[in-house]
Amino acid sequence: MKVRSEVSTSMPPMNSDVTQIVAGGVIGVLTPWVLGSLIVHLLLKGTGRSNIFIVLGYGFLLGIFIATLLLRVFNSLGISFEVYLLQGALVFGTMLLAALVRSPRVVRNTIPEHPKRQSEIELLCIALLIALATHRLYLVSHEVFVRPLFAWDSWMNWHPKAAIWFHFGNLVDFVSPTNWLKLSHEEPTYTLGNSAAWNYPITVPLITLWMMINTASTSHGMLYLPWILLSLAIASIIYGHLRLLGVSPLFGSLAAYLLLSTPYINIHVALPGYADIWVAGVYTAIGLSIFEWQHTRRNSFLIISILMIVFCGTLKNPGIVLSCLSILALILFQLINRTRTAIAILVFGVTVLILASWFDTSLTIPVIGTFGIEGNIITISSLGEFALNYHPVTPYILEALFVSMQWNLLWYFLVLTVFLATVRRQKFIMLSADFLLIVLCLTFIIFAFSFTEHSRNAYNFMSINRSFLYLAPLSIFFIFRAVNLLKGQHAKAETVLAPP
Amino acid sequence: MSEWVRGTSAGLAALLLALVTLLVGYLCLAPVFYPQLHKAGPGNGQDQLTVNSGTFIGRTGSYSSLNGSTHISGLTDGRALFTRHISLEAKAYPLLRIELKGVMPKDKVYFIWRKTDETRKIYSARLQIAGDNKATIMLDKSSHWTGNISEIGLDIYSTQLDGTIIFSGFTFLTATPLTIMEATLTKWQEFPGWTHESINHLAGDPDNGFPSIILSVVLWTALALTLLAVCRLLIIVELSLPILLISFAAWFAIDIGWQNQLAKQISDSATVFAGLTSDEKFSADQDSALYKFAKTLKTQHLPSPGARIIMLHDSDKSEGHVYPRLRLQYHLLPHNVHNFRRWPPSYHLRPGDYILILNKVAGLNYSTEKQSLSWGERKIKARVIFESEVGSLYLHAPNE
Repeated sequence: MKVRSEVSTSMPPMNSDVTQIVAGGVIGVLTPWVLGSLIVHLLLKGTGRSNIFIVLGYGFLLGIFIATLLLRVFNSLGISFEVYLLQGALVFGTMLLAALVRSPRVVRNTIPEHPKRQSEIELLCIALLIALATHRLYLVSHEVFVRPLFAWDSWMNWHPKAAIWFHFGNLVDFVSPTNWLKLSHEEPTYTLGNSAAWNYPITVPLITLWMMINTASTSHGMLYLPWILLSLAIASIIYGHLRLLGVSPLFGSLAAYLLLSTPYINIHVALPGYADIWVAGVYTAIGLSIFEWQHTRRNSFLIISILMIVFCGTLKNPGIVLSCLSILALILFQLINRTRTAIAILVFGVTVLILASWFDTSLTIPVIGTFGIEGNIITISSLGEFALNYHPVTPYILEALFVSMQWNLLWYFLVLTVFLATVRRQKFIMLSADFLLIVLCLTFIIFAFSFTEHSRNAYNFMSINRSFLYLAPLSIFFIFRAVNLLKGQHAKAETVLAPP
Repeated sequence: MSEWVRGTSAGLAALLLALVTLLVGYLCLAPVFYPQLHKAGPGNGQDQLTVNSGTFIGRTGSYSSLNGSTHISGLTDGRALFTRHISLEAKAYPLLRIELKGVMPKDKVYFIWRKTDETRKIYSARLQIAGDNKATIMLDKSSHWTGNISEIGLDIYSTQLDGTIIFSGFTFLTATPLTIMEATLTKWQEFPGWTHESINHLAGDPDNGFPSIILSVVLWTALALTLLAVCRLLIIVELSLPILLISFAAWFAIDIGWQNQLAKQISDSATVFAGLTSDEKFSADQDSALYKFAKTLKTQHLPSPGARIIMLHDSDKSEGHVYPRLRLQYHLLPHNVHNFRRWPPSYHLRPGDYILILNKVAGLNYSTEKQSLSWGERKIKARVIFESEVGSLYLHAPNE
């Protein structure tokens, strides 16, 4: 077994020259980003529904996902995690793709860009927003690079796996603490200090591992460069899709700024290493790609949404649930023209669940594992056992969302937007994938906190905000899309996007 | 252009009018929300009582007086303490204004007091103050700010002072709408730094009865929107520029506050960590003792990572989020640590396993003579490798 000697013999985790770390980190994000962007570009080029912001935003997410898949492939083939091999594979893949894949003809966007020429005031406002966003990004990045890893779950659940895999050069096994004690073989097998974390999905530690391999460091802030860029990628996707809808650059920039200035998003970048902001970013990508597919039926967006659904399911346990909800949304929008069928399926599903509960049923589902219902006990082997009892957590949720400072006024804006769309009889605004995914995620969160043992994480505010983070970027997109329509401008553009 | 000017003017006018309305409303209604405005009344007829730093006696630490201020330049055993006797009625002065310069984020500053009828007890209030700053705090939020106060003081704790702290004195204030607003603004600007809760829930939310920033801004915004509607500056059913402007102005008002807090935090982090190597950063962090212990084990006593290390700790919550057991595991990476137990897992131990005892575990004893660890009726063979206050490392070697 090949181990990295510099880490094994000395403490602290060895750092190479700062220049090498920085260069390695930059290359570490650039090569996957280029490959991801190329794939997205090739997918969307012929759809007439693309712009640079969409390509770069989705490209970043897809590229990082591909980098983690590459690590899995290397590990399963028994190839050591050498940076030149991994980077070589990515660069080779990029060049091959660029050379071999016949590029489809560029199709002009079906929705014209904002028709009006920007006034000087609008341009000034955009420049101001960019300056403010840059300053905010500088502040959070400064914290990433200056402060040693701080956020609890980062160093307890996610970073350790990466550091251990980096040391051994392969994906060493992790087992439960109980099984760890019973081990008899000599091969290194690890466990973690959180008794459940050994079995968490591994994509987030793989992202950190990817950066460790590229920077040859296990502790430099550069490891968390993807967390900084992730916030930019989400903002870019939101801006790109709003522009596709004919939203003005100023209004789109405002949406991007709101995302980049939301305190809780700043916190998850400034104190990096958590999986939740990845789930939020990927869930946003799922929502917006399904939104495009719903309205335009361009299958390229369907492909992107499926890729992102797979990505989401490998990030964190709640990501698995969100992936399932996204698949449900896809099915619903496939049936959107057959409302009766959709309703019949929903009614059938609910009936099956009730009957399953009545007859204490269980079945095995790929990826998820065994799914069983016995009275008020739901068992999902990959997630655990949940006893359904009501817990009065509403005041805590309301305080977290509407009184504390971490969300600024985001949830007020969302409530106000839904209210205005309802009273102005523009409910069609809500019959879209973005809003459906918000509602599905919201239902899941409220159900999990109000009826399962996760309520304890609401009483102490441990995970209320992290859960709402999943739907925050999507909510910003919905607010701006809806307000843009309610303003009475560009209604024509949206009309083009009405369901066929 | 005219659309912009009209819309912006209407929005700004509504915001301004709403702000004025809120301020006037606050001044009128303050006695309702703050009953102490009625009850309080300075005993000696003064609105405020200033106590200069020159009248304080330095109990610990080194200092000098300059231009009426006390310049604190050193600590004694990590502490600088200044006190003076006084006689004041607590309820007459429920607020305190303090101005300190040169306080670093790592310094902990307290206002302390003693009561006439409880001379043996000292009470304290933490002052969230850093840099060149002043703060106004509401002392009556403490249930101990009652009766007659006989002694007051400034108490500073730190590892060492980086530069000089300049202390000018205290100003005790009566409760008026303006001084309460001053204290509220101080509270709104406070950011106690990152805590382990920050990633879950933003620390620094106003508490203890202070109004929420968010709710205050929402009230302001709602009032501005209502004024717009009432004044018929727009058609209610039309979402127009003034409404957007008011909504985003509200966002930016909160954003400025958050930006300032973030900037303060960044500055604090830079003070502690900027320019340091990874090793130096961990050594300067709050858990440096754990880090240095782990570093010693890794560089001097442990073999290559992979060998099993069973960490024992004296905690009722063997699986809970007990910081030292988890943090030490992190600092020991990439070593192979199991850290869920209080007692050695005698049935599962293998020759060559390491036993790491974090601090002390009551009832678990090591015998140098017998080279064994024992607890209750049980014992295992173990050879001591390293011992320190933070923890001890043993090697399970049954055949030696």
